[in-house]
Amino acid sequence: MKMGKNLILVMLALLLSTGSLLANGQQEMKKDLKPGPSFTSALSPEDEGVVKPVNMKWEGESPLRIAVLGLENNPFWIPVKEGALKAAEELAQYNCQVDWIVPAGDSHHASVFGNAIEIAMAQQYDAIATIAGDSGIVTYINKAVEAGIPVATFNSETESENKRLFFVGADLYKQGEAAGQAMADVLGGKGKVGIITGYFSVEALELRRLGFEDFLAANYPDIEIVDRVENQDKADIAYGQAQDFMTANPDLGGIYVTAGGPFGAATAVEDAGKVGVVKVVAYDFVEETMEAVQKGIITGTIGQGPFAQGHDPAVRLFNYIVGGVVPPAGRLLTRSDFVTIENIDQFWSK
Amino acid sequence: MDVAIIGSKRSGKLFLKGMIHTKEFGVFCALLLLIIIMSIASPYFLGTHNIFNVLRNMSTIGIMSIGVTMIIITGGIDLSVGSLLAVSGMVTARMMYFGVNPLIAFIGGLLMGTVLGAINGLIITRIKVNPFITTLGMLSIGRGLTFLLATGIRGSVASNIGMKNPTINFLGGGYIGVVPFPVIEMFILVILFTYFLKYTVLGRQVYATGSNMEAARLSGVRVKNVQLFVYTLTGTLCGLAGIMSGGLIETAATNAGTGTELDVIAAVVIGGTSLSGGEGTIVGAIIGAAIMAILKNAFVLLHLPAFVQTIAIGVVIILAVATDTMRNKNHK
Repeated sequence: MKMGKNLILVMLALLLSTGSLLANGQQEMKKDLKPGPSFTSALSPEDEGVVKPVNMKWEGESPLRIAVLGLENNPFWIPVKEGALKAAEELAQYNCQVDWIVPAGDSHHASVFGNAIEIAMAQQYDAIATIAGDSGIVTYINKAVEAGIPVATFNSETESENKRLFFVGADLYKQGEAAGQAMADVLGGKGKVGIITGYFSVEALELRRLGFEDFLAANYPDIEIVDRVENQDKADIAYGQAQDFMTANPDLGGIYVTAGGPFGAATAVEDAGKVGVVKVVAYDFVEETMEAVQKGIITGTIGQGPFAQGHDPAVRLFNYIVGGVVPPAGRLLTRSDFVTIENIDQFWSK
Repeated sequence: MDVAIIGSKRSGKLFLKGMIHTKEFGVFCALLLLIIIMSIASPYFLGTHNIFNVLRNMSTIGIMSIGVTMIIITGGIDLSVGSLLAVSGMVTARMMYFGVNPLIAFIGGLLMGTVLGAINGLIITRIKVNPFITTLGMLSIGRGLTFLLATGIRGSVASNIGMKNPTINFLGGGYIGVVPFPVIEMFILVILFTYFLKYTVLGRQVYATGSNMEAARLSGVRVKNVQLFVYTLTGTLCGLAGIMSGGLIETAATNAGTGTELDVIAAVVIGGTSLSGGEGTIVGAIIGAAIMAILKNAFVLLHLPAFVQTIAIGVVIILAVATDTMRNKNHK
């Protein structure tokens, strides 16, 4: 009936305009965002991993929504996800909703995560935290920020400057340097080292590799890098490569693994009976690696604060939007703990 | 490849002549050349340990290429082998995690590979989806299943699962004397299936199906069952490879086998199997796998940059197919 039809049309119009008013209202409330810290400023914050939300509620009708984009395809991400979920729990009482999102495509590439940023924008998230695996993601980050959505990066970051508000994660080049120092210490300043990197094409891993190599070249000229290969994060490939390193260099002193699968290299060293002769330096605290550290097969492994990487971006983004708290620096560097057989009990138990 | 001269001198000569004209001989010569160059270039290459390391490193790809050779002979292809490897290893590890007897867990892993391979075969033969698309889909399904099986142990994120058991670890990392056990497994399977392809009826039917499927069907070959067989068998072989690979590093990794399908197909093609079907041998694929494994070994022994290795493998693949194409032109 004509009356009914008109009624429906009017109601639809009312609904739509209310909706857009609300959405604009949400935007209006965020418009007065303060300028962020400089891109390259860096410090290690005291409250890493335990940043507290400001004691203010988000005054909007609907909750403030923050998207945390990460991966779940290997055990490294377990504490990251835990961090994000903890942030969600803490922020729930302040009318803020944090969603942990794993984009389909199971890869760290810019195409996958850039697409995920666009989807988050379409879903009208108010802030986004994401990994930045390669510089292809810069355009997507800038687009989001220009649309009024603050972006934080974590875990991996590009060298190329972009409009992200801040980064939470390790200084990868410095980690490489620290690994270089650790290797030099266990080798007594001289010897041969082979490098197994995850991917030559991942910027973050190249920083770890170059930090290591540059540091050793500058400070320990008696340490020679004999080979560089990539294992694509696979432990069984690392096994074969470690074997080949030991064959090609019978006096090999160390193996440096920049990314996934170091326990493959460790098993090869063990099977060759060279535990303690060939030292292995690795990254991250996944179960298999920690077991190898405890057995003394991996000399030491370098952490990067994964819990903080999952937790802090969401909380700091909330504090920025709601409380006007500008992050203390552009690069909020997480502690890179060096875990060896001596201090492993502080970090891990079976 | 010693030629035993059986019977009369004349038939011996014909045998030798026949062998020289096979594709495999050409690739075998390439392998010999590579070995000679490497022995001169590096003092470590011919050491017992290094040779057996190289053989052990290639055993996973070698075993998978047995099945994929047969698939490609029938005119098909299988892109899911890497995922089947991973999911089978994960099944075995998961079962062991729940305390299941390792032998049963081993069978469980093999079964998973077999079932997924059979599903590939059924979709290709009964529903008639082309092999490229079917196995491409299975690649994703298999990988997803691997992640699924790997979650729940440490929260909701996929984790590697430990695979620590003397028997399983022996399958992947054990030695009999100086010979790694996986190498023995690979050789036994190669001999078994080479005999199968050459001297059994089903084996000859594999070739017939690939040569001319319609003609084969009309002459009474159950081409659908032949195809189902090769995909299922490949699934089982990938299962074995997955358990071996996990057994070696005592872990079933969520990313095991990613990208391996390309290595397997490269080995098969280098070894002389034509992608259009109808011809090829398992021995050829093993030679192809050996060439690729020696190249990878060479780059570390000779301290060459890794980027060059990636280019070199690509060049070898193209060269192998190019020389084969040119040979065919000459003979015709």
